[in-house]
Amino acid sequence: MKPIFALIAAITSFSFSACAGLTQMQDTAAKFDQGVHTVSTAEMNLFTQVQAAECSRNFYVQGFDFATVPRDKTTGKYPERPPLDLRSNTCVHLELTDEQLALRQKLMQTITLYADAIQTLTNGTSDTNLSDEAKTVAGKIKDLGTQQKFTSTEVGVGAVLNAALVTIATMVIDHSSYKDVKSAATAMQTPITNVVKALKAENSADAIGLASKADGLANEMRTSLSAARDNTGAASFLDVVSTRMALDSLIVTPPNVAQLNATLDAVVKANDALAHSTNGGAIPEIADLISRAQQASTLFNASK
Amino acid sequence: MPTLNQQTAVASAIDAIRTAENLLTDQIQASNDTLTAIKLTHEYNNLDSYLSELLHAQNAADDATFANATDALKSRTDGLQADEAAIKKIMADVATAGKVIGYITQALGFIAKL
Repeated sequence: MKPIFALIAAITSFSFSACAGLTQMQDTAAKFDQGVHTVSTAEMNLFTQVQAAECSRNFYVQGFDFATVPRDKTTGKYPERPPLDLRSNTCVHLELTDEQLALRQKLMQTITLYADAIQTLTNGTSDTNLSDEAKTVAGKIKDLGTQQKFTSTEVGVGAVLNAALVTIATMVIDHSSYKDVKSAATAMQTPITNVVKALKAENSADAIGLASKADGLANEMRTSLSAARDNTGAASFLDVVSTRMALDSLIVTPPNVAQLNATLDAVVKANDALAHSTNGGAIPEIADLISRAQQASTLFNASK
Repeated sequence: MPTLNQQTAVASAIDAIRTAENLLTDQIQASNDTLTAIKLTHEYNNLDSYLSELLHAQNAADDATFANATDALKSRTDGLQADEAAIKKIMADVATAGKVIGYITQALGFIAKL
């Protein structure tokens, strides 16, 4: 082969190899982004379930009070209180207020914005695909973090969490300052770990609240079955059957939280894999993230 | 922002109340007496309501919200003490009643530190 042809062949081969590397990394980053967004959907569903569980719990407690209030010994009549209005849809969220919920959503949003920024990085550092809206949200998160507005249910990590959020939000806004995915993922590994830690602690606290509410309803149902047996004897077995079915359909299953937390861990592992990958390609941690995220999303979408 | 000690106190009170709830739930689910079950379920519901307030305090993101939440918790400590007395009267299983009351007392101790 003449030297000039050999040189052309070498250059062509190098170019294809570089393009293949870029394409593989784009594909990998897209999968990471997809996995993180799917986790986010499951997490947001949990937040909504926490508020919904409080509302339904309030209603059933009111219903139980109504059903068990004793008659007035003098008049033989039931007292006017406690009232029970089946039409009532009003619910004030006290356990997790709307303001607290908004802050929690921003924790998860920070990670999805980061995943979007990572994907954008694979399109080249001059890419402007990350929307102005995303940067505005990141700016707000950065402001809140700077003002130490985020708290963690995990003891003693509030300041660390706020610092992590500021770091990630700054990366989202200035993502083009990172030369590639590897350098960005490496720089964000600790902050991502800290945000995930906070989310996991909140999920575990939510699990306690959900379990308490689930047991509360189960106790009311069990007590009512005792009363049904007192009144109808063997016929109360029919109540047992319908109560079991009602419980299955009414209670949010708390153990799902463990799976959601494992999925959040998968985000950290996938980011760590990105921090150690040069060309992308098949990364088992990212495949694991997508698989876990889809399972969590299915579970939480199916939950009441 | 709540201090480290305050966060620890709230988290510990949550654990104590939830453990008391678990013991009450076992008693309610095993109960053969309807009236006892009704009374214990009302007690459980009181603890559940208190747990909600503790979780709200744990979620508080600013000093004002946390202060309001802890004020609300402290204002209900008399109610918790009344629950302790009621559980002692209702529950036939003295040993378990003692454990439930013990956990509520622990929670009261943590709340007092706020």
